[in-house]
Amino acid sequence: MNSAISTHHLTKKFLSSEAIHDLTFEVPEASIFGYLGPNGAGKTTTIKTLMNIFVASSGSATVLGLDSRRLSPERLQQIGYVSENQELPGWMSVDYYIDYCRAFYPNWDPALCDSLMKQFDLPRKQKLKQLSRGMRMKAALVSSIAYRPQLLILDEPFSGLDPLVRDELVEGILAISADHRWTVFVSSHDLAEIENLVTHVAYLDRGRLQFSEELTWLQERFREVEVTCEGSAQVPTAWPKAWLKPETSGAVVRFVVSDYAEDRTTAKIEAMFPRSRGVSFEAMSLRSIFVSLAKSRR
Amino acid sequence: MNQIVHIFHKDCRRLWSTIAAVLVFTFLHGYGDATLSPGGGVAVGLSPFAIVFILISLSWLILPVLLFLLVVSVIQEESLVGSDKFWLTRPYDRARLFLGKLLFVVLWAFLPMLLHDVCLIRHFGFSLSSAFGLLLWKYAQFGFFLLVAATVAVLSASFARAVLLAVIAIVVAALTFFIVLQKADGPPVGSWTTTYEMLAVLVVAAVGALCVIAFQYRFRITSVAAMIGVAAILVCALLARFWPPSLTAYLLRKNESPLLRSIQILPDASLNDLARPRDLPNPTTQPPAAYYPFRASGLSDDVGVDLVGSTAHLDSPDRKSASLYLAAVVRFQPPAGRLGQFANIGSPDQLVSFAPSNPEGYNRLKNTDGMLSGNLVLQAFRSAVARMPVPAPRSRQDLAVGSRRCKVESFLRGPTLVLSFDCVELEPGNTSQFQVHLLHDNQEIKGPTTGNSGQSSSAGGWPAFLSPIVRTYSTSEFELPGVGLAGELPSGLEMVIFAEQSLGASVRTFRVEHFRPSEFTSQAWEQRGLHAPQ
Repeated sequence: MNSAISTHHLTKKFLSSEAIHDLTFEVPEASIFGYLGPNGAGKTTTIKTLMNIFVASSGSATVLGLDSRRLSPERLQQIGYVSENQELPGWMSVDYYIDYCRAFYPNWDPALCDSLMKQFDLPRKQKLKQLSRGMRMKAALVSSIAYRPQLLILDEPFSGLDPLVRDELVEGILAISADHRWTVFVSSHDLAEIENLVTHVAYLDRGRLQFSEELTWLQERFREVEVTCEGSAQVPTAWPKAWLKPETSGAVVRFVVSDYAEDRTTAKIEAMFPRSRGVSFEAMSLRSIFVSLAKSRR
Repeated sequence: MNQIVHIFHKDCRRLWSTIAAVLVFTFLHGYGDATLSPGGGVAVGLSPFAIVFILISLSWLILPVLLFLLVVSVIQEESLVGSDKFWLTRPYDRARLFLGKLLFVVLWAFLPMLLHDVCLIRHFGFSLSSAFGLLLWKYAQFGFFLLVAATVAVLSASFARAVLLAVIAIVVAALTFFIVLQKADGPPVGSWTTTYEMLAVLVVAAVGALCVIAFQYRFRITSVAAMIGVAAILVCALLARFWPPSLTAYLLRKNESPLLRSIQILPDASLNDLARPRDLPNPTTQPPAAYYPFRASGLSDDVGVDLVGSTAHLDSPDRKSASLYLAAVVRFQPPAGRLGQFANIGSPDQLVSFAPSNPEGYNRLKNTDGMLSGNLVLQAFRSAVARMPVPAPRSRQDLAVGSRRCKVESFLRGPTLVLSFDCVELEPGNTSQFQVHLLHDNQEIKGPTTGNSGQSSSAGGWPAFLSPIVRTYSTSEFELPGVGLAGELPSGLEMVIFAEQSLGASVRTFRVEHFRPSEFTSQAWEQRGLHAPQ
């Protein structure tokens, strides 16, 4: 499978502080790639480096097969970009904004644009500066989707939006992505926002990439484990690194396994807890995985 | 091309109010230049006329500010500072973006100004071909102003920040020039070097500004672009500091007119019947000067020459040296009678005064038989004269003298005849002197008793690029004995107007083989005999 985005030891420094460090990951084509991390983790810096807004301090990135430093206008015609911080020309009406953007894209699809405008219920005559934050995001999304980009980059698109608007946007993105097999790269600090959206996920913490993989694999390898022991439970001293945040409560030990494989993990637990009376495994939501990882790294 | 027009159209739509304001004030400025005499009216109250009058009066300030605002705004529409601008992730072609902005500036800043200039030039009866060279220079200045505005615009994200940056840039430039130039201790040579030196500094500054703009459009690294700007300021200051006077002399020689080329100023010890030199500018603080006779040759009937500067060295046989400079401007002109081609009687033979830069070193050499050599800086002028009857009171008459077109009006205030001249000429206004004399039955009437040189609409003022013309208003008053209260002018009254038009500058070398300063003091010349200055 080809990559829509790939980074190779990508690093960006601002004076002496390192915003992102040695990032290497790939975004497969036609995937919806969730780029996760807490606030200040370096998500926006990564995206701006990919978009050639920032120049990488070292390393490299390719976007749609081209070095990100050499993103030409022709290549930008294939990329849609929506960011929570983007400064839109507030003096433009929605209609004029859409018209203005249209002239930059030979592949602009007026029918798709119209249907999105209707779907998002955008007030055409109103100026962008008079719109609510959610409406502005919708307008930005329409102007970034209507030319059917191969790659759609969304930087915290749902931040601060009410749940109704967020759901509308998610539904819109899912529908379009399913129809056209576009690659969507979406960053967020809130897993719940994109849990139902993404197919792949990467997790960034303090500028360093913790993992990057397909969501199903991730959910496959993470399990919440509960071991019931005879008598009071104790955490063994030789604790595997892949087992996160062990907690004891009476005869019960709870922890998260990040390398779950049914037979191998069961055997390993039996070896660690020879006096166990029972073991249960529970699949985890993306949010639970995120929280476990975040807590384990504190 | 489509993208250029598309961006241009968007900018017009966005900045229509600023465009409209620029057009209105360009019109008002032109209207004021064409119709109102400088200092010729006072607005009272807040009538519509008064408001328009006030706006016209302030247009010299408001129009440049609006032009600055226009250029800054159009560039900051797609701001090059910051990382959250919407356009950064859109498929803008940077070259087309730049061309779109250029088209906007040409259409809404240059073109209205050009139209304004053409209308004014034609309104005052000048031909466009005669104004072409002046317009080129004017638009070079105008372009430089817009370039500065564009430079601060590419380095800032809002108009307020652009203004702040412009102020900072001016302070940095002033400090840099002050620091670099304060150690410049060359001999004072007058203002003659400023033209080429200034031109060179402006060209370097313009190249620096273009580098900043190009760098920002290409790389968008504001700190580096600002450093390029600071480096350009430093280069300008160093250029001004180390600009070789010999290069100015070479350029002046290369570009001088054939008329000027034929003029020679040569030292001649054998000259006699010389006029007493005019007083030195500050005889109490000025060190004693030495005077040497010079003769001007090659002067045509209506052409004279002013010696405005000099760099000279007095070298003794024992290899000691002293620097000298010209102590006072000296005028050479063909011998002419009163009210001939020149306003004053003059002569091609004159005493030229040299003052020492370092009096102590000079005093050691004043009894030495040394060699005086150096450069003389000349400014040639053509004297034009117009003679015509004085117009009847309250009637206006047209008059052309030299490069000026004037309207002259007379009126009587008791026994005083007041002549008022409302004159225009093309920028930068090369009429250096304008004198009025009055004749009654071919006899000159003493005067004028009072008069003023008037105020110019833009000559020498800021910013000179706003108008293609210099408008000067002046009055001259003469006492007319025998004029009663009837208010009629005596017959046979004529006025003679002299206008001197600059023909450019040049540099000549000279050498006096045997020069003993003590033999050429003012006292020594008084003993030899001098006649009174005219």
